[in-house]
Amino acid sequence: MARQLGFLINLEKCIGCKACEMACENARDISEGSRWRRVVRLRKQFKGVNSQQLISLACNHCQNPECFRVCPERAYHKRRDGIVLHNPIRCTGCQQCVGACPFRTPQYNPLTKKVEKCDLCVSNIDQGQMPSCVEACFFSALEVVDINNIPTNASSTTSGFENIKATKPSIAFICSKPVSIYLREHGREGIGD
Amino acid sequence: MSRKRHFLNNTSMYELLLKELAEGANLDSLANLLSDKLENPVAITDSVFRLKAGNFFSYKVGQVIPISVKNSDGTITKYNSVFDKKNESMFITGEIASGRPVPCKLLRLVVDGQKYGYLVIAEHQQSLTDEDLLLLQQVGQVILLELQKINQINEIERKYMSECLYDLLYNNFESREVLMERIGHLGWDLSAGQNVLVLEVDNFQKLRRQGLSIKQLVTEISILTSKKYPNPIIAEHNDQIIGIITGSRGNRSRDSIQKMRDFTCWLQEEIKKNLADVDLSIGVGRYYTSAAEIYRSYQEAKIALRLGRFFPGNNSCSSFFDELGVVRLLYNLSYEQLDDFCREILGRLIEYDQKNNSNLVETLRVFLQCSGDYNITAEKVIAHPNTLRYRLKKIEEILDTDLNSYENILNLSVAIKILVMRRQGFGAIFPE
Repeated sequence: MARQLGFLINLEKCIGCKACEMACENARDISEGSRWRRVVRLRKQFKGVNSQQLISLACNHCQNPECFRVCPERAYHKRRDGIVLHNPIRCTGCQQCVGACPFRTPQYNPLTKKVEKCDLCVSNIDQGQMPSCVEACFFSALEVVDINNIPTNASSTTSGFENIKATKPSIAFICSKPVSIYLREHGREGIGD
Repeated sequence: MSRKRHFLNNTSMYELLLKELAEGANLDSLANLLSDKLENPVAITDSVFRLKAGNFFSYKVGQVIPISVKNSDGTITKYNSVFDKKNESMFITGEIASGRPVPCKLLRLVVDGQKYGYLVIAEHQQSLTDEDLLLLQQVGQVILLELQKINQINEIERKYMSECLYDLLYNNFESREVLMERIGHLGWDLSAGQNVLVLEVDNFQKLRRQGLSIKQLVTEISILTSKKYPNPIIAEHNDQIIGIITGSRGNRSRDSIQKMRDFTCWLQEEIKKNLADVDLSIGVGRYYTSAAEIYRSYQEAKIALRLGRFFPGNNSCSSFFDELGVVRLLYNLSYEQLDDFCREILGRLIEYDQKNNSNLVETLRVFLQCSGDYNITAEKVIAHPNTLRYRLKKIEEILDTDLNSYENILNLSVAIKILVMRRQGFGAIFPE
């Protein structure tokens, strides 16, 4: 099986501090208004109770990337480690990839008139380091892993995450355990009361 | 005294073969030397008895030698992997079943459970003696050594080829010139335009039960495809078999699809006949004239394979990206959006079916599939045309729609397609 790098997000650890988002912006000198990584709020439902989950998302470096298929300029390619890269030299800014990506990952930059997206900090990866977002995560909630060998407690989706499997996004989640709330029975005294 | 002489003879033969190998002899020379010594035709074959080396009657290299064996109950069957698994003896007695049967001895060439092939000795002129079998055991080791060496070289070539194929399938090259140079090294000719096929085994366990691997399937598909198309590229990638077929263009797009459909059906039949009873799903991408566009055809073939499974056509073995129609637009929408649309259009009908244990959704599906032909639909749903008319009227009532309006038919067709996809496992379980 060919290697496929992707993000593993530990939802138990993520507190939505947006350090990853800021690290990405700083490291890649991204233009204003454009965000390659964004922390979004997902609505979840557990046993009928609505709750929210903060989740950090960027390009999923899909195994069947639509951006890559539809680009008329052959501006996308997929490296042998599975990273989907965009070549701005070839890009004409037609935005077909923007519309085709079900996760709306490629973003149009009106200043350069080209599309841009997360490249998983390939220069770091090539030097054996981690992408800036991963390095910035204080709680180690974000990791880059080979998606074909994810831990047994990880799953390919989580409640609220756009459930699109057709493009085979290279992302995995370690889901947070449901919170247990212990309530004292009415009229019964607790220890020390 | 005689045993000693034979032993010395065998030892000198063993040494002779090793010397020949060291001097650069190939498998053919080894087989011929052995053939001269035993005064019988000798063949070295792969694990499915495809001739690799040796002058073996009129068989050509690559041709399968039909070997039959006698079962324990006395019946004669074609040698297969099941028999091979059951039989653990070093030599197997069989016969070459073409024309007048010729008895033969088979020596398995196995190391650490990996089967490299067989040494087949036809007992054409004279039967093999015990001393001959002893010699064969020793010589088998020498041949095995050579086969291992060939396999190692093939493995390196395969790795280089698979890396090049990956780059071709994922547009991972700097320029067309670099691409053409690399594929030129491999002897691939991609100047004529090509389609990409993605083949997937529907049931891996079934394949394994028959003692077969994807590699063997790749070899078989490669041989079969080359009978119909020149220089096909067939390789394994991510548990799928990828085929790059050149020269598949017909005069019209429909002709090309029909030609390819006939080919895929033939391929399936041949595999079932020659190798194993396995079902293959095949997705076919569009035809592109440039090698630099192969990656597009590959992505399309994967989509066709995935979506084609939900809508198996009549007697169709493959699905074509060109023929997916509106489904192509649906597949990268989120399941929530698909469910919402489906519920909006068909929700009341689904609910009615559940409450009354009726089958109106299915009736509607067949009606739309049959392009609104009452007689054909009635036949398919096993009902009288008048009953069908009554059911369709009921559907119109429940959905508050008119089945004569194109707009409504379009919406219903799309909703039915979504329903079919979702019920067959496209995404999560359809919430009913």
